[in-house]
Amino acid sequence: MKKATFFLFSFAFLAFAFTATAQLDRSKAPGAGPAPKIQLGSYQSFKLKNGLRVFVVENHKLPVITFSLQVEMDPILEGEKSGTSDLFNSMIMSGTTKQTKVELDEKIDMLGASIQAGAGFAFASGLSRNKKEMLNLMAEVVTLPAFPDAELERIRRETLSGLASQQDDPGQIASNIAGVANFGDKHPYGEVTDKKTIEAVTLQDIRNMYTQVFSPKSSYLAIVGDITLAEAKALTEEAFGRWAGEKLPSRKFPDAQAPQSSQVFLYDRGNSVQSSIRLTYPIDLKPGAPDAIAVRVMANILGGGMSGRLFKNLRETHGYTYGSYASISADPLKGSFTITADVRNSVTDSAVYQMVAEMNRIVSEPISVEEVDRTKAEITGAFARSLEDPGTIARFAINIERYKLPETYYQDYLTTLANLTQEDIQNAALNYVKPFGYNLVVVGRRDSIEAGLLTYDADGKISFFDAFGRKAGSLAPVPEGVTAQTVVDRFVQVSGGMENINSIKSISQKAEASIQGFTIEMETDFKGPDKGRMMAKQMGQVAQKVVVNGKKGSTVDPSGEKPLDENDIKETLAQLNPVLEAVYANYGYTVELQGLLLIDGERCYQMKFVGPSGSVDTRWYSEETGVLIKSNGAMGSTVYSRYQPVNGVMLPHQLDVTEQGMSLTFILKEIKVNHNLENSLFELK
Amino acid sequence: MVSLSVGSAAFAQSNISFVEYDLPNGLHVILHQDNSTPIVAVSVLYHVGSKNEDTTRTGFAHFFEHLLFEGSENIARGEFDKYIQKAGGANNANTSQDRTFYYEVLSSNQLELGLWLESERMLHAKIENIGVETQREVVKEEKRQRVDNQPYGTLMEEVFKRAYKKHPYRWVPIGSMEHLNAAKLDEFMEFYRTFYVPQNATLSIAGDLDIAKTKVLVEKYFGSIPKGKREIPRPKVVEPALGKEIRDTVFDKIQLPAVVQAYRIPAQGTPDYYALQVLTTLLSGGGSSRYNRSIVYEQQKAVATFAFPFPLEDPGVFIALGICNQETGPAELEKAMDAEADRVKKEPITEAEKNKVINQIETAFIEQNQQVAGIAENLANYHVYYGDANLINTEMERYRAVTAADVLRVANQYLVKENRVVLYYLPQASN
Repeated sequence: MKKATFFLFSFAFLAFAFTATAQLDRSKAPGAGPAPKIQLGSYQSFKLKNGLRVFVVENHKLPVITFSLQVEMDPILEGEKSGTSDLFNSMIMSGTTKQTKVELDEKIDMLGASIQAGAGFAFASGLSRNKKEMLNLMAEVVTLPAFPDAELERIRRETLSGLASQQDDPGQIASNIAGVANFGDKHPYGEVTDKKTIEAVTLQDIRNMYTQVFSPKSSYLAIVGDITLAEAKALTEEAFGRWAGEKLPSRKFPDAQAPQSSQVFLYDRGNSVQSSIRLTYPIDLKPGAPDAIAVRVMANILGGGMSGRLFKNLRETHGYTYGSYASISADPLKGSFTITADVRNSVTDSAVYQMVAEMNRIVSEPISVEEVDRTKAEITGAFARSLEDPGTIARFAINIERYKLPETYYQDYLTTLANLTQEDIQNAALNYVKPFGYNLVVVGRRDSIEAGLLTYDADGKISFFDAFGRKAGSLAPVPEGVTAQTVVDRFVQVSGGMENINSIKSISQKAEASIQGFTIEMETDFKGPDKGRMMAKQMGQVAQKVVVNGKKGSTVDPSGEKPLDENDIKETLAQLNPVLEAVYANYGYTVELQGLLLIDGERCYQMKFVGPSGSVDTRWYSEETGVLIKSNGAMGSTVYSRYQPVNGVMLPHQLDVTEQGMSLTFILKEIKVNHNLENSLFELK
Repeated sequence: MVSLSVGSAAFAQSNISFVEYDLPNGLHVILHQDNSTPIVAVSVLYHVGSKNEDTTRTGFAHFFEHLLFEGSENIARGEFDKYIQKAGGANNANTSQDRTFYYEVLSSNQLELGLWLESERMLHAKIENIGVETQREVVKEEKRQRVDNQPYGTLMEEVFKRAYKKHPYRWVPIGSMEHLNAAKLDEFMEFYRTFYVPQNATLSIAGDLDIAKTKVLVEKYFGSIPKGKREIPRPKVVEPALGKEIRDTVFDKIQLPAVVQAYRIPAQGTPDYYALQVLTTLLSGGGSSRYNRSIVYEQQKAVATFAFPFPLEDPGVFIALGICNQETGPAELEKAMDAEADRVKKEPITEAEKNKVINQIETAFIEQNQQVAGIAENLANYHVYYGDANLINTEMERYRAVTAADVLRVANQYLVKENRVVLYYLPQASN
């Protein structure tokens, strides 16, 4: 025995010495050792009397555990109350019939756990020593929610704030518009959630939703981690045993199709430094479909990661982007194909060109054996790595039941993958890649990118959208008989008529806005036909002043005084008139009716006023009421509201101004008409 | 039911065994064996980050990280990723203020491939003009995508440039566009020879491996890499106290204003740092935390609040952040945040609160070691920053040692006006 041990020891020593001193050939990559067997771990399952199906994967490596409940349900069309599920997700975490939100939060944190629930799902994770308490809390949230009335308005406000902040996130905007582009707004994957729809949701809607999204008969519970089967059975029975409910109904929706030709959808993010591009369309691909694995191989070749063609082309060859990828999602209802990239403004159309070129290439050119083989290797590796997470086995088991896959689907996955032929992959490309019929969604700076994108829209008409996915911006033709003159006349008329407007010979207005505790005052005085002044004050100090007296005028700010030229004088006086539309021609303005546009949900006529200096002031008038809603000039945009009569003339008493990095709400504090305005007010130095 | 879990017998433990040693060339090696899944994570941590950069070349270390995927004497340009893909592996890298980290996760029969790739990267990476020019554009796109075009994306940059005047933490790893434009090929070679040397690197491997065989392979691929000949420069700048509160406004492409309060704090790993971790968890960890309960839920002044000490090797910052609810102005939100700071300065944290926070920290501490890639990275970090890889098992004791008096003391010492930068993020005009 002793001798044998010694022998083994010295042999090992020699092996070490030999390896260390041998000349290492660095020029070749080392070969792989014998492939390890990729084994799918085991799971156990049982069913409660109420129909809840439970899958348990024991793993005692670390003292941690996760519980995840998923509900098999068709998506719900929320329509005019789109966003109900967003409110639902917060409401269900806001208290149960046993305890308030505050008590619930306290208990979850005391366990050091994380518990979340929403429409059709619940999740808990933490240390296994707390498994009983965690599961009971999760079950309480799911089965005994209180939906307290008192919490709703708080949650609605939070949701509206969250909605507002969506407008900041180019990726979120692109995804909102892609949903509408692919599925239409009458489909659960495309419907639009905005302020209006969130405000329409009632407590009853949320309560009604509960029975649509939770039921033991339609639910799967996965328990993964440091627990035994016996414990899992006892704990689940205690937590969910009394839960009752029938199988959830199935729903049908209008089918979505990829477009016949390419369409461009644009969101104008004025100050964007990049364009977020999504080239996308809906596809029919259900989880576990016969060609699903071939499609995955093909999608990985096209753009699966750092070795995908899109990454190599757009990033490594052209340096257009930090990354470009393709993905194909399988979905029981309707899947989608999407290529993404965020690129600098100036290469937006070039990047789209390369995306389409790669789509064409994968459809029309043979894919090499080498490329297929290394992609198969990549997917095999990803499959093996995914097994490090014991939750994967539970996910596989639930997928098999939910999507009615063959019992051995995942055991056979790698063999099926290995047996795929060149032709299978080529067919996947032919069937799912559509280089001529796609929706191209771009979130970016319109004036830098629009012209380049025009060629990608088959009918040459780019559609414009707001951040939430509502159609906006694109000008619709105006009805027969409407002209610039009729729009102007109508506004003059709804403002009180020419006679009343002309009766105002002088007018002084004081408006105030506050920001961060600062007060900003705007004062204007006008004495027709040729004297006027404007003053902006910050905390009582004059920040800027413009004065016109007859044929002369000047502007004064901290940098000094500058004279105004003839055209500036005309424009200043025109803008000081109580109703510009009544007098614009007298001051050298021309006007053009450009079309109909949606402004904040309202159809408006877009009118372009061009001043004598060439400055453009675009103004929008409600189609319904004829009233001026908004304007946009060189200095920013103004929204007009709270019209009230002054001497028989309707004047706006609130102006929301967005200018030079600031959003300010001006409220009219004082207004005087036909009063004695001293000429000395308009004196120039 | 909660009190049951307090008591040393019930403490959840991590028990991650490992071996560590140095090669004669100075390379530090850490090996962790876990055969439960047939995969292995191979990682190399270089102790160089943006704080080692020249003041006129900010962003250089991260730019350099991109270049080290370009190839080597034996790996043609673009082939690095292909080797990984063919082996079914995943790989990536990242650069912080203090270090650059590269890793591959491979099927365990491909361990040797991982070692070959990483040793090629360390021994004779090849950096050519074409790679420099392409990656220059790529890195600029990364900055646009992650920083300039993201709401609040400039937060770190805006905080750090005001919180530091001398120390290289005054810039962030992504650096500046102008500096990226100016970087030249020979500067990269210089940087490589200085910092990418075995004595400045830690090779950390975790997963389905055999310790003895792996040692042999490590020697085979890394043993012959020569030790670097230069002294490795480390910034010795001691940043003076801030002295007075710095306040500023940043305009960004956002809808909801935000308030950022950044307090200067000691380096990670110091006793005060652990007390500050307890404090931040008290303030913002979970729905019942002070910020969430009071500012988000009761007063409804913010849609979200966060507080976190930024872990850095040299003295860093503690960042408190609130995003205003639609109807709330930043001044009002700041007042509410200050009120919570005042409260932790006056009232000691209760025993129940302390238990809650420790439970939360402990859960995160245990959960960070669920994957071999995470274990490899944590072992390397603990070794490099603290000189004790075994903290992967024992660091929790340092949190437990924090007392209510410690929390009160650090609150009073660090959460003071003279020690902070306050930024208001306000919406800029769109279009």
